[in-house]
Amino acid sequence: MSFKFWSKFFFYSIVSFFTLIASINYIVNPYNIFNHTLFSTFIKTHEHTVSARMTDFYTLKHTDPTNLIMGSSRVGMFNQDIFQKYLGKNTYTLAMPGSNIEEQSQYLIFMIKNKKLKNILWSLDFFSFNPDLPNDDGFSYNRVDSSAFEKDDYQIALFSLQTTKNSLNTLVDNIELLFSGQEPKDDKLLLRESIDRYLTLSPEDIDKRTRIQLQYYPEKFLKFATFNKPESIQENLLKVKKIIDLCEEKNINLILYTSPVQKSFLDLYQTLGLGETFHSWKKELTKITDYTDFCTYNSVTDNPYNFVDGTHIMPNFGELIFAKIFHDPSVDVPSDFGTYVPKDSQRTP
Amino acid sequence: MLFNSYIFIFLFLPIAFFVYFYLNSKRLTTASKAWLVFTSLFFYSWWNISYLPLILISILFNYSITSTMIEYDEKKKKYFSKKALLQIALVFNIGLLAYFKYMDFFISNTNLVLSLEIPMLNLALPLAISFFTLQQIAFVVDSYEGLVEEKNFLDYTIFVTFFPQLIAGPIVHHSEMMPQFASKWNMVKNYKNIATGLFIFSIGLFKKVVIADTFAKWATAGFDHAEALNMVEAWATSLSYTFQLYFDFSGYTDMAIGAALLFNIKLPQNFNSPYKATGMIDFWKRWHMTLTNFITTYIYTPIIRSFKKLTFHKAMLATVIAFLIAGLWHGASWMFVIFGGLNGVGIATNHYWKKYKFKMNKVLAWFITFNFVNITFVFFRAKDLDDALKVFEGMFYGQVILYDKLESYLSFLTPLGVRFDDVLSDIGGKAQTIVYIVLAFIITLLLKNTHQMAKEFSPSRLSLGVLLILAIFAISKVSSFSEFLYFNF
Repeated sequence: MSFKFWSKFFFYSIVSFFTLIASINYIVNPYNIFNHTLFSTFIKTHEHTVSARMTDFYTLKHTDPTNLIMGSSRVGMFNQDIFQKYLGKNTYTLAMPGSNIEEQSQYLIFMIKNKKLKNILWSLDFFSFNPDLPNDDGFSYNRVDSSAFEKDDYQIALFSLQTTKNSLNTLVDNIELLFSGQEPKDDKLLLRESIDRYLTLSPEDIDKRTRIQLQYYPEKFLKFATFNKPESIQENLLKVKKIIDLCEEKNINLILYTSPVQKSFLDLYQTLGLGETFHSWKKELTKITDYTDFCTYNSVTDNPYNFVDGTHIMPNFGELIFAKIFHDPSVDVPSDFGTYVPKDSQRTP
Repeated sequence: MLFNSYIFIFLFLPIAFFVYFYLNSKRLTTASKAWLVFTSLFFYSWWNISYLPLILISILFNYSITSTMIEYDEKKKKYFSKKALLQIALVFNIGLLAYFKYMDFFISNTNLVLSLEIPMLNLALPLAISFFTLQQIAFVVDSYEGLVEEKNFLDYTIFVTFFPQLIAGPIVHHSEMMPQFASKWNMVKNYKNIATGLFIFSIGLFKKVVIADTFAKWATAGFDHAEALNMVEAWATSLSYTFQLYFDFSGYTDMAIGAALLFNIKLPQNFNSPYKATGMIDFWKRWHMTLTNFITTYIYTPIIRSFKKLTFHKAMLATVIAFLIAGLWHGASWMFVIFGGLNGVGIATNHYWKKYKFKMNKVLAWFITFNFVNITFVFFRAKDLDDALKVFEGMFYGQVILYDKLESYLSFLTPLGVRFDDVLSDIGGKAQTIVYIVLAFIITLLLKNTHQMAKEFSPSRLSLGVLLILAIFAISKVSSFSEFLYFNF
């Protein structure tokens, strides 16, 4: 074999191989990064991802919602129809598991600046204010900066072997669907199925899930160097304030509430020495906004079986949150579940 | 622009290559050289165009001074003597490096010693300044010594900016580079060089993105959690960094050598299986060889010359001083000074050992050398002395934890303080970490290095198949941002 043949074969093989996989990945578009509808009648379901943060962002970027529900995994636990009931159609839920306020506020800033939103419902979690909680590995500032180009995302989406594997799996999923004659399960249907699963959890299952969560949660979300000092959350409160100001400027109705957790988790904050910060969190929130506080000891949070685990409320109980916020008289909400806290309220929540 | 990026592999390098040889095929040799300069400056500016004026000023200044020195006629009266020109050029180059690289280090130490509060300048370190300044200092000194005759501005500019070696070396010497740029034979496509260049580049890419970046995760996590490391984690951390540094830097060098070879330019070898070394003298003959050559010629030799009467002890003192300077060249931190000092002392000790004709078993010599290198790299990587000491504490006094699966076999060790648990959790490692470390030992100690493989390379179905698999796997991994370690120096 000559050096010339070797060189040319090597070069053209590499170029052909990567042109081929880039074309497949572009067409199949497993992470919804590319805003096209090629073969959309055939490729209906995309269930394989490398980074939920990345896929969520691009899916959101390519939609034009009027209403946005933002928060951690907790907002992803609810029947999405409930939001339509109170906010109307065209409502998008962005549930970012384990996200901190920095990540949530960055996504919100992007949406506020680039989309025509009317309402934002923002679920606030205590752990999200932990200044020692890092951004998720899949989070990227370039991605949410509309003036920057996040080339890494496009490179991963086009050239990575993992993406090619996901593209092929996506194709297999869609071929199976085609032959089964079934319609693909959209996000709503998948969510409803998972909600149904949660509703059938036995008390033993819930106890077990809570026990496991109590083991890893402090290490993962409440581990701190400074979080035990009340002033440590000031920076994150400023980020919330920035969103409030931006919404005012853009005439967007922003509704905030604190997400409920089981009584055992409220106790855990005290045990870990975070009681003062927890108290300060709500006190400082009242200085910048009004909100509805569900993160208290009450008849709902006192019963562990109203939860899927320690911090995720059962979907049917969760829906009480929105009935309370939107003053729905057709739903019977326990009177001690959810306290409306007006801005500058002197009342300590 | 990084070598391990799609834009470099699929756009920049092919365009630079095809246009260069197209211009040469039309006998537009000046245009082809100008094209190489343009592509190199484009490559350099990709990170931050604000660095561009600095490198251009540095090139113009050094070229003007050296041209004057080359043409210097002792008989004609000039405003400046040749020696004064040399001094001006040295002050300029060292001053540039000192200002951008060491000013804040100097200020912080002055503040510490004199209890002052002089504000820091917080200057961004211009990319590659350490490398292009060194190369130009060598050119200036040799021009003064009368060792340079070439005076072609385009060749000089390519010598300084040639993109494969611009950012992190190998540190090239004008005497080996400028004749290559001037040679007409090098302006014709040479498929042997192209094939070998692709071969070397692919191996380098694999070393960087597959091996070095894997070790990087464990090394970074280990140094970030230095205070909590058990003994196994601390050793895994230091070894991960030792292997990361080698595969990262030698991978980069391979890519540089491979890319340059596509243009028929042969860059000098920079690594020769350094972890096979059986002494510190041997190690520095194998590790960052072009830096060792530079230290010897332009730091060690002038120090030696400055001694009126040279003795063995003075030569050893010169070695330690040269290595202290070389350490500081890596960065403005006492950690690098310690790293340089330790290596200098290591080499001096090795020389004394040889002088007094002590003998040592080769395996033991390798073991001591490797561990000494591994320990000095802890200083090289640590943010500060405290960090380094924490890693050492883990390595030598840390809790011994073994895999929980071994408990049933080794439970008799429990009374000795051995615990059975998840061994590598603090550095994000698993059993895979140990396997990688063992494989790294096998690769660095038992296999041929890239240079040796390239020498034996011949086009065959086997080499084509293996290289294609390596290259495809490596290129598909080039999807996240991962700079080379030596870009920081």
